[in-house]
Order: sequence, then structure tokens, then C-alpha cells
Amino acid sequence: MKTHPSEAGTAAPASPATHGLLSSRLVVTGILAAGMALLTVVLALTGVDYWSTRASMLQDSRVEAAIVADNISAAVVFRDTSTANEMLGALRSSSMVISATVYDKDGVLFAHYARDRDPDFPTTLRATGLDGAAERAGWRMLEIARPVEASGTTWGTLYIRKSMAAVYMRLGIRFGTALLIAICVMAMATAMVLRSRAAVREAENRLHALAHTDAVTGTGNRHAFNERLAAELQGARGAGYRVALVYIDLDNFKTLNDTFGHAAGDGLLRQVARRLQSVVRSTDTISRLGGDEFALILRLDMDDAALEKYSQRIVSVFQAAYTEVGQQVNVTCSAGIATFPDDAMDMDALVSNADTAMYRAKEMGKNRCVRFDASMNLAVVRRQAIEQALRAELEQGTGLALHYQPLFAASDRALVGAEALLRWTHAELGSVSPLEAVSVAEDCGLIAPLGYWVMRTACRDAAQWKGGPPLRVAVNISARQLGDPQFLERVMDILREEGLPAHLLEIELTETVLMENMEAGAHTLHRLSQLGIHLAIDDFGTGYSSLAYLRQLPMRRLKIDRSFVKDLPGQEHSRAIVTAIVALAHGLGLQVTAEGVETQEQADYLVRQGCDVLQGYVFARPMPAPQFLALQAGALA
Amino acid sequence: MAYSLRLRTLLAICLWTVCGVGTSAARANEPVADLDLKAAYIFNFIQFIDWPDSDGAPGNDVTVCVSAFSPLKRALTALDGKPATKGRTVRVRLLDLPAIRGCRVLIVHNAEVEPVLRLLRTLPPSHGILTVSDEITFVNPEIVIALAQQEGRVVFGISPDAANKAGLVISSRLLRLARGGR
Repeated sequence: MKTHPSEAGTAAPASPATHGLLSSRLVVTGILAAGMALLTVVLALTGVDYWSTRASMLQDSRVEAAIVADNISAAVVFRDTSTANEMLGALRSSSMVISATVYDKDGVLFAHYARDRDPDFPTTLRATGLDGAAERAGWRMLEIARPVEASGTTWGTLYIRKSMAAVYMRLGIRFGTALLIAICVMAMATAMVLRSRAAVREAENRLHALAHTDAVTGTGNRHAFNERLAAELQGARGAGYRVALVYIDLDNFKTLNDTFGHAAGDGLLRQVARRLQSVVRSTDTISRLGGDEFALILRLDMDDAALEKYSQRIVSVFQAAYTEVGQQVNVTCSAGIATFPDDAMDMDALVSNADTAMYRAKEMGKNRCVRFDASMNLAVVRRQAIEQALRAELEQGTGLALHYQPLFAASDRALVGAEALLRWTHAELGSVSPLEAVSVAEDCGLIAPLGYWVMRTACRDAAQWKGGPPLRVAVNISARQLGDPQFLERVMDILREEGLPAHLLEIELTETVLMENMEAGAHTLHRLSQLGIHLAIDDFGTGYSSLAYLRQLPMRRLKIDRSFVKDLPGQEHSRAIVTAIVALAHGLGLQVTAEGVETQEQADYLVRQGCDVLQGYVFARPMPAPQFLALQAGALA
Repeated sequence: MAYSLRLRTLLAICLWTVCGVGTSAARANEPVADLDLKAAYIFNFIQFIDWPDSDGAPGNDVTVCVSAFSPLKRALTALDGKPATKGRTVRVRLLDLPAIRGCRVLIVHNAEVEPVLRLLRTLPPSHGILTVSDEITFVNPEIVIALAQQEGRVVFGISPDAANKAGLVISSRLLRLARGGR
């Protein structure tokens, strides 16, 4: 049988072995039963044979006795003992006859024949004990008495003793032969059964292997993983050792798969499996759970530091680039580790915790391995609470609100607009950070409704800002929203319904959002731009910073990320970057906004560099809509 | 009874001696028991022999004709009226040559052999007369059964040719007992 990963360990998985034992015991029982049946038949046949042989022997003996009695009658009549003896002697041709005797009318011995020696033959008719009976069939011998008659007169009695030994001998031979045949038949049947059993077992083993092997990588599949993990945990419970479960998920595998094709994706998975095999110990098990997910089951005979090192080794497997279809591909992985019995007491919890740890690794920026921590489950619980609360808020809640951070023109510090920022205070959860809320919304599919809620609310509020120079409201949108085919219509509907002119809405996109929706996004963005909506790139300089899309897309504005502003004006690198971004933007005809301006020096420096719009605590913090309305009124005054 | 029988035998011997008919010392000394045994033999022969049915025998009798000279005459007479095989009765009478056709069994004595045989030859084949001689020393193939004394036992010989000629069917069981090669 092909050695299977799930069976490589010493803690044998129960089912196939037990199953084999059970079925072979069944076969043995079946063969024994058949043997017993055959033996019974043979015995029954022998019994029938015995009775029929005995009956026919009795019949033959009667005839024999009748013939002898008839022939010998004259000799008895004429009392010719020697002739009578001679005639009885003819019985020697019948090998079963022990002795034959003729008694005269008075029951006295007249003539006698004995095959070898029959010392206890009866010397008188009375001594035979037949008492006038014609025959007596015992186990050892058969006795026949027959009157010797001539012309209607009885002259004496013929008495023949026959041995049953020959009958038994014949029976024995027949029984032996039948037994031999039965044994041969049984042996043949057994051989056939065993051969077919072997074939069945082979097929079963092949099926078992097929059912437990992943077709792409040749490692165990999810089924094998489940069995193996259950067996390991059982062994761990019994022997008291620890087990670590490592969940591995390839980062961005889907993109690779889409880019290079499924064949390349499968090839990559095979390479990953091979590399993983090369770093784990022989007792550890690798399974592919599906997609780009792998799981390692480790017999944990090391301390936490060693486990840490081990997990680093696993992650480092991905450091070297993979070559697939002639291309160098960099793949990283996120891994989560949970241990038994420290992190979880049963299989489901262990799997769930390893999964949680892996997701945490992804959240923490991928390409890393994270040990499970009990607080992660708290985080999960919190995320679930947030998700439910958010769902409720979007349906009929009042907890969600938008705050507006004013934007000022660098030249004269005049109010030119505001960026809408999400604020959420929940009755039970308290204040939920927008980052957390958006992260949860993205995971559970609420990001689109949330995004439209923000846009609608912002547009509604901005429509109120009247009386002075027109103020533009900036709204952030997510990748999911941009990918929505209805996005354009939805935005136009909102603008129309809330009565806000299109040129007063500015949509902010991060570089990541753009890159994830390059194809569909470009068209939508062009349409939005044509309709008058302003487009801005948020957090510029932290993502791909691709110049190509700056040229291709109808952008109006770049927003310098706060991380570059933070170190101004002291740090030279930041200064250089800011100078470059401003030069680049102006060169492309784009306006520049600086976010996170916190000091007057920063503001002055940015103004000197030529920034168009400033945003930051030094000017104004984000404020509720009514307060912003008041600010606007104040500015006008 | 035995005494009177012996007496009678003695008388008969005396008579034979007086008559001077072929007496010999051996014969004269023949014990009465042997004669009875021979008579019993003759009676038993009847049991093993079939007579030709065509031969019209009067009634159910088996007529035993005994030569007047035969020492068995007296022993046979004792069997007169005894029931034989197939419900027949044994009748014993002295041999009367002209009435020989009425005999079924003919006990021939040496003295009468020649005339008897001559007479039998004149009869048609299958005449159904069983001839019994009482002397083995006299060998004659025309006599069916020859009784004799041998080593103190009574023995008999059978001539199958004579039996055939007389139309008698002798049981093989009887033939088996006969001393061959006479």
C-alpha cells in the first residue's frame, strides 16, 4: 500500500486497521461455519451410509444364509459332517463371516466353520442366545440363524456370525474420502475467498488513499487532516503530550491564480507543499485543506521558544522566490498556531483558534506567523458584537454620525470644504473607532451599505452649507464600493435626491482601492469626473505610488499622507518627499492637500512648498455637523 | 424293542444261512443299527428326488419295493405308512418282478440284480424307478444309488446316467453328498 501521510505516525489512525481486523475475523468465521456445515453433511452422509450398508448387509446375509441352509440340508439330513463342514467352508469367500455353525434338530453342534479362530462361538443352539429370533444386529457383529429344512421338515439350524469390521472399514474409507474432498473443497474455497478478500482490500486501500490524498499536491486532504488531528489529539490526551496546529494561508494567492492561470497556481501549490515537506519533521503531517490553505500537525515536544523558531522556519520557506511557468513569483504566507491543550481542549476549538491566529497574522500585515492568544477570541467576540451592532445601526440606528474636518486654503486660510469622517458611539460597545468599524464592515459585507450611508449623509449635510463660497465635501470610498457596477448610478441618485451639485462632492480613494479595481474602476472614475465630481488620491506615497494611473485617471488632487507631514520640517527625507510630491502634482496639474498638520511650523513649511489646501488639528479638529455649520456661519461673519 | 429287533435280525440271518443264499461273514455280522440307518437313508433319498410327473402313480404313495433277499427288508418295513415329501406316503412291499412298474423305489439285492436289470431294460425310458443297491462291491452303472459301508459310515454313490435314463431328477444337494467315481 502506498504510504500515506496520515498514516506515517505511530499513533495509528483507528479505522482501516480495525476494519481490516474485523473483516478478516468475519472471513475466518464464515470459513469455519462453512467447514462445520460441510463436516455435518459428511457426518450425516456417513450415518445414512452406515444404516443403508447395514441394511443391505443384513439383506445379503439373509440370502447367503438361505442359500447355505438350502445347500447344506442334504448333508444335515444324511448327517454328513465332513460335507457340511466343507460346505460351510465355502463361506470363506465371504470375508465378513467370522464363523458359521450348523446345529442339529436337538441344538447340538453338527458342523462348524471359523475364519481364523472364534473361541467363543456357541457350542449349542441355546448358547447363541437368539431364542428363535432370525437375526441379531449388534455393533460389533451380525448374527443370523436360519432353519435347515428339507421337504418341509426342519433338520437343524444354520447360525452365521458376521463381523461388522468390514462395514466400519468401508465407512471409514468413505468418511475419510469425503472428509478429504471436503477439506480440499474448503481449501480451494478459502483460497478463493482470501484472494478476493485481498483484491477487495487492495481496492479499499486504494479508495482510502484516494479519499485521503489531495489531488494537486499529493499531501493529505481535509478528510485526512480531520482524521489525523482527531487521532493525534486522542493520543495526546492518552499520553499527555502536546500538539500544535499550524494553519497556513498563502497571501494573495487568488491574484496569482488569476494572473498566471490555474495550472500555474497548482504548480505553485505543489512547490509550496514540497518546500513545507522539506522543513517539517517526518512525524509532522502536512495537509492541504483546500484552496491555498495548508495545515501542519506537529507533535509538540519542544518549548515555546523552539516552536517560535520552528514557525519562523515555516514562514521562511516562502522567502525564496518560486519559479512557475518561467516567471519568478514571490509568495508569502500568513500562519496561525494554536496548541493543544494550552489553547484549546478539543479539536473544533483548536482548529478555530488556529484559524483565528492566522487571520490575525493577515490583519497584522501578512507574511508572518502568529501564536494564538486568548485575547484574540475576545477580539473575535468583539468583532461579532460590532457586526451585529453595525447591522442594527444601518437599519434604524442613530449611533452612526459624520464629523467634518474643515479644509483651509493655504494662501488665505479661507474655509474651502470639509472631509467627512465616520464617528460611532454605541450604547454598549462605547465609542468604536472608524478603523475598526470599517474593518468589520469589510469582513462581513456591510461596507457597501455603510459607504452609501456615509455618502448620502455627507451630501445631505453639505447641501445645508449655503450662504458663502461653495464648500466641497470629501468622502472616502472603499474598494468594494468602487467595484459595485451600480456605483455610478447610486452616487448620481444620492446627489439628485439630496440636492447637492456634483462639483461639490469630492471622492477620495486610496492607492490600494485603485489598484484593486483598475479595470472596472477606470471607467467609473472617468464617468464620475465627466459628471463633475472631483476625485482625489488619499494617503499618497504609502501605497503603490504608480505614476501611470496618475496620468491615465482624471484625478484632481493628491493628499500627502500624514506620516510625511508628521516629521516636518525637521526631517530631511520627509521634506524631500513632500517637495517631490508637490512638484509632481503641480506638474500634472493636480492640487495638493496636506493632512495631519499639527503645528504652525508644519503649516508654514507646507505653504512655502506650495501646498494648496491644509487639514489638521492646528486649524480645526473634526466636528459634528451643527458645529461645522456654526463655524461656517462664523467664517462668513 | 431293540432286543426283539436284534432277535429278528438273528432269525433272519438264520433263515439266510438256511437258505444258503450268498451269505458272507461280513454281511451276516451287519449290526441292526446300520440297517436301520440305511433304511433311513433310503427314506431320505425320497425327499431329494423328483419322479417324472407323467408317470402315472396310483395315489399319493411312494411304493418301495424291497427284494426278499435284502437285509434291509425288515428295517424298511418299519417305515411303511410313513408320510414322505409332498404329502405322499411311503408304502413298502416285497419285490414282485412282474409288478415292477408299480415300484418307485427298488431295493435290489445282489442275487436279483441281473433279472431286475434285464426287466428294467425292457421298460421304456423314463420309467421312473429308482434303483438302490445295498452293496458297493457290486458296481453296476445301471443302478442309480449304491449304498455302502465305509470306515464305519454309511456312504452312497449315485449314477447320474442311470438316473437320467430312469427319468429321475436328483437334487444337487444329494449329489453333493454322493461318493463319486464308482
